[in-house]
Amino acid sequence: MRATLQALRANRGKTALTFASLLFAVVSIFLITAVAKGVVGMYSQILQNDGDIIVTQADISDTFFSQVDRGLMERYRRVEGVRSVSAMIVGASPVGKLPIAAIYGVSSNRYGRYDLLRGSYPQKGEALLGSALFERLGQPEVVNVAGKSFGVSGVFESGIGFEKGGVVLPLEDAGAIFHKEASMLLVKTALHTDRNALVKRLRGISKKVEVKTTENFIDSYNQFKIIETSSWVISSVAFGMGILSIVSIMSIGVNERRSEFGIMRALGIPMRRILAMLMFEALAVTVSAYLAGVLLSLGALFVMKHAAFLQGYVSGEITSGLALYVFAATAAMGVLGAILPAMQAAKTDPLLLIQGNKT
Amino acid sequence: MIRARNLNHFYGKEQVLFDIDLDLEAGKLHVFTGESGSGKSTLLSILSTLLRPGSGELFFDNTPYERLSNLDALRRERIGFVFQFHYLIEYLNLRENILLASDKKEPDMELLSFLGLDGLLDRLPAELSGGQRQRGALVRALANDPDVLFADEPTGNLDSKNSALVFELLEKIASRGTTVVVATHDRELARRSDRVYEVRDGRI
Repeated sequence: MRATLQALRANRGKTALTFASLLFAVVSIFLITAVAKGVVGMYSQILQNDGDIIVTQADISDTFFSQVDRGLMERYRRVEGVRSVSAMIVGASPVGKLPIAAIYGVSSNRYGRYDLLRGSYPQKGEALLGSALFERLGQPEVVNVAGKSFGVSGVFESGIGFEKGGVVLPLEDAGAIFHKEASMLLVKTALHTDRNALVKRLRGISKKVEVKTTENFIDSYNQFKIIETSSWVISSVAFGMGILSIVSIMSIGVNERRSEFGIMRALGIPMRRILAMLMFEALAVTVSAYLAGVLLSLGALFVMKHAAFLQGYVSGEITSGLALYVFAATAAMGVLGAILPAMQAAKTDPLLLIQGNKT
Repeated sequence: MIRARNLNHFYGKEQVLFDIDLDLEAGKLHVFTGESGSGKSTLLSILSTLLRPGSGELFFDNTPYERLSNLDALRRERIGFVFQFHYLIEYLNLRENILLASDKKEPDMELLSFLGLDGLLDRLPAELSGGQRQRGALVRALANDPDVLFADEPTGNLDSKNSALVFELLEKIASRGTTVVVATHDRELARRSDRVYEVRDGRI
């Protein structure tokens, strides 16, 4: 351990560069993946609250573009196994001084899920503001949404960043802004109901809509797939860039230490012990960079979550699965970076290694 | 102990050793002399297994080089090598350098004392003089009590006082039964050796 630290200190320039490369790679992978998971998680949570079954316009790729006939609500309510049906419009528009904010038009039977901090639920011509948006707008009494003025009826708290930074309007008011009756219907089922059978029954009512259980909807929702795929691609690129920079830095480091390895081999130290020594050094840097990366990422996520200008929209969580995945990726980067140039040195005669450079 | 037959070596297309035949007897002080570039260092490196021979046969205790299954163990347990440059590892102190490839807990204090290195074990190479580093490298080469000690210009970077000390030690080691093989320009050492080989243009 002492020799490892001494070696790392003796090569402090390369050690610092390797540490910095790993740190940036770790933080990039953490943030990209955590934020993507956060986006998907937040929207999934909105859909899952009060909705066991989701009804959207058929053949539409994004709920933002979905239009559903509100008249279906009454027909669904009469179907056996349906406990309640609510409607929702999701959209985005300028709010007050902000160029864009999330707008939720909801039927009054969904109001109960917004925890009021002050005031009351909105009547026609009124808006209920998420706490982050309320603060961001300077605690207004009247708010302008898409060019129309709404009295602020109250403020609500939510654990979901998208809601916290958004506006809740009565369904009719939101419908007037977005020119639709509803983006989706959320169906709550009665206890012990066979949801798949219920989905089939609801599908029979209208061909213009797509009916799915919430789990199926989340699994198959294209926007989530795009976000998740993008995050995988970007974090893979970060991983690849990390590997390349570490391999190149460590190649330079190993080349500069050729005479050291040559002497070790001339003294009869087996190459596997030299490789183990390099791996140990790489792991020491890797683990330190990983731990520093976790702390830095947690700090960055905290700042993003609480930064007023982000309205709470950017949120992420470092789950144990994600932490394990990033640790494995980091360890792979460090070990591959160390082992590839060292393997090359292993094939060379000790004398040629020694003659490589004289310190 | 070490036998070479028809050894040749090349650097790229250039041949640097030609048809070398040698028998190095155990427990003797063998000296290779010759001008710079004559090939004596290359020959020493091949005889000590640090460099694979281009062609020809090399035997260590009658075992052909190709059949030496564990070169690492051979180098660690039976061969010591001292270079013209000390090659101590800069981030390890003298004790750690000496014991780098040894299972011993402490270096040979008698030897350290003879070479004036006692009391310097905790110093880094950068904190030692050039002579102390070179003597440290010699102690490292002897750490595992090798059967053969190879030394390539061991006094090349030393003043006359340090050179005399190293000569004396090499003679002492040889008298104890260790085979000592030295490449040197130094005529004094050649004069005091059991056998001298002159290397000229890659030939003996």
